[in-house]
Amino acid sequence: MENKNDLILEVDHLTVNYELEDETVEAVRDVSFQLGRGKTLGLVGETGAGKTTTALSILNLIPDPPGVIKGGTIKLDGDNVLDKTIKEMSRIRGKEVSMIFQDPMTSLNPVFTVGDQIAEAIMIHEKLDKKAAFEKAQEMLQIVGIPGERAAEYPHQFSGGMKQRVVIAIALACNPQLLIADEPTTALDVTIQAQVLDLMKELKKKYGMAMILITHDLGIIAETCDDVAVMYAGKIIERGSLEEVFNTARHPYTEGLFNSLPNIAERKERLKPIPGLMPDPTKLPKGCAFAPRCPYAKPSCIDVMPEERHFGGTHYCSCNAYDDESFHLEREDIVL
Amino acid sequence: MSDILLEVKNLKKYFKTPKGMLHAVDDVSFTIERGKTLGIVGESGCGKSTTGRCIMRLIEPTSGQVIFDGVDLASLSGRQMRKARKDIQIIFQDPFSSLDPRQTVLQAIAEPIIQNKLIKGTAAIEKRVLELMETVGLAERLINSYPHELDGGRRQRIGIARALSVQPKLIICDEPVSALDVSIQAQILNLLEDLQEKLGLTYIFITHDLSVVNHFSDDIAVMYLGKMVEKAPAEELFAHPTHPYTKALLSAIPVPDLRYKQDRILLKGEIASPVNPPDQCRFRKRCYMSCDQCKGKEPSLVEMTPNHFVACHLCQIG
Amino acid sequence: MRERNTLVSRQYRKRSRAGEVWHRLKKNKGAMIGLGIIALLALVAILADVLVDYDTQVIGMTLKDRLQHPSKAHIMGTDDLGRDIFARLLYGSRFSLSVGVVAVAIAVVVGVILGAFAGYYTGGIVEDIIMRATDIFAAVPNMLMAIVIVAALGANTLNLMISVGVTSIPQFVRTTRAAVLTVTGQEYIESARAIGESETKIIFKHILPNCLSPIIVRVTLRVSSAIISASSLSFLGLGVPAPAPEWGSMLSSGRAYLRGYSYMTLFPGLAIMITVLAFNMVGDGLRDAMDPKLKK
Repeated sequence: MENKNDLILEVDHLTVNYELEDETVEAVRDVSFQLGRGKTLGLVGETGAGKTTTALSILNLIPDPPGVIKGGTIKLDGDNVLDKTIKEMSRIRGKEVSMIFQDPMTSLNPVFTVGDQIAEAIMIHEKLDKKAAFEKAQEMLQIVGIPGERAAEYPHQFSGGMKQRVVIAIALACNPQLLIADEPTTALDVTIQAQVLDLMKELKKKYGMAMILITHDLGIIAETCDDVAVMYAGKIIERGSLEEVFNTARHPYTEGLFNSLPNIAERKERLKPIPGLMPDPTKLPKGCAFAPRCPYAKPSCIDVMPEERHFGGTHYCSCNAYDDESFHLEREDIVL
Repeated sequence: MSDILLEVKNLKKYFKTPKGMLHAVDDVSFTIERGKTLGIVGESGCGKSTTGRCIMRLIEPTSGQVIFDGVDLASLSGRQMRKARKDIQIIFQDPFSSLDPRQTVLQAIAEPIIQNKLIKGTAAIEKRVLELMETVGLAERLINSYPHELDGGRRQRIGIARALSVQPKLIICDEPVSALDVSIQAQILNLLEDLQEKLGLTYIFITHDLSVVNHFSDDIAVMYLGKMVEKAPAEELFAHPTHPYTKALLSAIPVPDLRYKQDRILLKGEIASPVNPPDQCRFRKRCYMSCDQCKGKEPSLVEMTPNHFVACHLCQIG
Repeated sequence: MRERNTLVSRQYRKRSRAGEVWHRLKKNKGAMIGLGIIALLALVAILADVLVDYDTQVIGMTLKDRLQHPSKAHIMGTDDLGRDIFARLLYGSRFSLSVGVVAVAIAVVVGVILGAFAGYYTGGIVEDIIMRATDIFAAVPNMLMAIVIVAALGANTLNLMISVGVTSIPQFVRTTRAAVLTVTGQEYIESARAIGESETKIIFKHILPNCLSPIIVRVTLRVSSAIISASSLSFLGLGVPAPAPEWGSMLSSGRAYLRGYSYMTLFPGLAIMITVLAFNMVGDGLRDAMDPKLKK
């Protein structure tokens, strides 16, 4: 295992509920994962899997009410984030952990110039005067590939891809140790997405920061991440290094995801979708939440909550089917 | 005799804007054979959706011909066109806004049947609606549900049932799966494929996602800023992409397979404005291969190898 | 009949949309209290002739009973002409409610039609004319406009309704246009066109029904301000002519006796306030119940 000091983030048994008037949504259920310094973790899952809630918990930004962190610890650089006061938290946000949101159109304030918005982040966390901060802002713009002169322009004068670059510049302005990117390229066109991803990879290397990349696109994960965690109905059902999860997937849901993707590299005759729908997060089964859609499920899966098993290396997977030692998925392991 | 269902000739759609004429679709021509699928690919603002809407005149084209089953749709009167729409249907991208929130599943699917007076009598109409629901995989118990009670995949199934209800010959699928989750996306794609086989439908499949069209189409047309820049049978296009934009687009797709490595072509800058474009290659400013030749006239679509058309000066010089 | 019962859709009957709005509205205490008050007022207004005798109790003067404080015989006291204030208030509900409702009805009919045209045919001369006219209309203070109209047409109940109605038109034009604009941009309108529906059918079947919620909310809120406008005009002597017991004119006639006999203004004032409050509570409740964003 990695040395504890090499970990920037340790999440243990995190449980988050949204308590609505007459029902409770179990958004994140007993989630644990670690992230090493300078590493990128990809958090994959479909709508409602709990990816964004997990990320927001790290910044202690769960909207409360209705969100309630029910239990668990989130250690950022060794300190539990959940014990911090509001004041301490605001010092951490932006400075040590930054977040990029999906929609660049709404994450910039239309009445301030982009330069001012970047400078603001700098002024809050670094003791710089306005002028120095604005100069640093221009530098940041150049780093993300926008001419420094454009700092005096307003967000509406930028295109979608450019706005997302500005958002990245704001997030990186204070050299955070951890960057959380929530679907950073979903709203962008493919060629622009390629530019932005490329930029993010490059900057990550340059600053040596760790990153959590939330996405539903396995292709993006394959190209940017070191580690992967697959979420389904609030739980991490499989996690491990990129190679472990992509080449030797162990969970039936992960297999299902790969099968349902149209792949540009090989033209499949027919897609094999996962049948059925995501379970209602207010009425989750007692056991495995994927059991109703799982082709390998036994009747007992509905009642027995699977334990997380170790599959060598950093590879973990929660599935009851492995109670039977001879069990293996239909998908064949890829040997490189 | 070739069995051509739709022939689009020199289709143009310009929009008036305060800054000048916006060339949304500029001189696009193509044909589709009965029972086949044409994929139209491109990024936002390339005119792919406008092309689809011009075909069924949801947007009036500025000029050009749309010959459907031997009839030029552009020449029909409003009333005749409304009747002709029965044969061409469209499935929309956003299953959250393409259904009237006040209509139940039954009402939404029955509406086109009643409108076109295909079946008479409440019981008979309901029977047909139930048939359609079964065809697209909607459970009978959902018949009185409202769209907001259903998830994206089911709503998209309602949209498909609505389109099928008038027994069209051609269905224009405008990004039908891009708003859906991966596992649901595959369900809908398979459904569309099954329907094509069973009912002999012809599709125009509009999308920004090349991996989806690859899976789905017989022919693929790539559009950039209102122009068709390349058109070829799907396998040919993926095996020998020729236009620099097609190559860049293909290389930009992230592939979820660690074995698959390729050199990425990163394009400079962003899509230019389609307002009053100059008479030269519209991709020139972003093109990584452009030369002096490209500053000349706008390149036209030329058949390089059989059935493979490309609009690029460089490729045409060879 | 037998055929109808075999319909599959009958087996899966469920609450309609209106039913759902009602279900949510029921949970809102304020709205239900408001609705109760309005229902009571409406009942009183309808039964006014049965409850009190117009000629003797409402307008009949009994000068020996003038200016009596509330007592068992006159629970709200009597006014300067010896008329029972309670009886007059009961009867007065007729005027307030009818003026409020009719005035808003006028405004809705005119405003919604104009707003729908302006919203559907955007960017054209139709929209320009309608919207600029609306702007000019809205720029004149409501009260002033109403006074001018009543002054020009003459003071009577019908003209009061017309003047209050006309001043409410701009609000409905704007509300409707905004709603139509949003709905017209939705794909289901294109979808309706794609199955061959005509423009008129689309407007009436798809666009207007989906614009109803903001309009209904606006209606309830507007009824309350119409009641205030009507009372204000009557207070100024431009509304329902004496001796009819309009609440505003009752308030006005009590003004002279404010020091010694404050109940003469207190009770009509309360009546106006409670009615307006009731409509406002229902309006707010409806807005919450109809707002899809609050849906889970």
